Amino acid sequence: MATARARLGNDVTTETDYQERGPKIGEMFPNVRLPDQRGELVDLHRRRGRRRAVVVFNRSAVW
Amino acid sequence: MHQDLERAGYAVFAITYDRQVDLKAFADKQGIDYPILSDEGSRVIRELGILDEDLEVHHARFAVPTRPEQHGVAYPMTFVLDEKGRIERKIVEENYRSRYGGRWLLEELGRAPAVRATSGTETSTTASQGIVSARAWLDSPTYFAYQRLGLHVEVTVQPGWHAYGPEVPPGYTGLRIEVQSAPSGVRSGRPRWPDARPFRIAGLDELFSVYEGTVEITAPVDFVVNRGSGPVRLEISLGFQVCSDTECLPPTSLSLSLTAPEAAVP
Repeated sequence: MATARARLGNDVTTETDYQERGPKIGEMFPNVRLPDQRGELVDLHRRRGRRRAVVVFNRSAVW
Repeated sequence: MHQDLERAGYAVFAITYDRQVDLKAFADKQGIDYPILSDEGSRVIRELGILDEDLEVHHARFAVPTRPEQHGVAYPMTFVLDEKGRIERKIVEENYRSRYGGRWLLEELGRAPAVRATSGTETSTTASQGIVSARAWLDSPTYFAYQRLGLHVEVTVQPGWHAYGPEVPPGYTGLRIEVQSAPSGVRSGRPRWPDARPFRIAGLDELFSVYEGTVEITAPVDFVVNRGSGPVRLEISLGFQVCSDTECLPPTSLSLSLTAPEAAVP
């Protein structure tokens, strides 16, 4: 069972070339400061506080 | 959708290269209250090294031309951070065709943290979960109100493993397909299951039927929605359990998501 699960985990993280691009697993996510939809400047890590976070890069809200 | 994640203790952020004013219009329309950050000019996207440099290639796959203003988008990625801000998981999608893929992905993460899913094209989509991958498509590029279409789901089980068929003895998890829609109204009928191979486990009386390799399941879906409903999003949930000759993995599921545009009304 343990091997099968480990294998499952590998599939999750190594399949795509793009997986290698950008910040890597285990690294600190770089702090990001950008305005949100209301125009309020958001400091990602400060806003996160001690919470876990999900950061989604979306294509576009326009097209 | 994101409420599940927030309830689970996650802070949720989306980032796009759109202007803040466009994000505001989008968020207002969609009722989004988590922060969508505006990386106009793609500075952060470039700094992080996740600019989609192969946009033309990705678009060409769908025979879509690339407009100059489309350059600057990030590659579709999601990062899950732990309490300290360290990257715990990184999810890379294969394409961006699904405009609201992010929202759907958030739902995915909230429900099944181990799933790597791929957001779909408009009428065809793929997803995988370790040993099982699946592709789903409709047999028509569009629907019209009260039409019945065929939903095809192709399931591939990696060599050395098999999935239980739909008929299993009590206590086991057979393959099942559930379809939900937004707006609601799409009803799926009885799936047509391919023949499964009989399978007996040494020492047990029970007879199982299993699927190996690639099988295709079809099911009728009735679009019981009013004319003018616009695009209908189908969320297809595939529940299954896979085993090898020596071990079984816990039952799990994967989700496929696709959108059927409404046919133009003359």
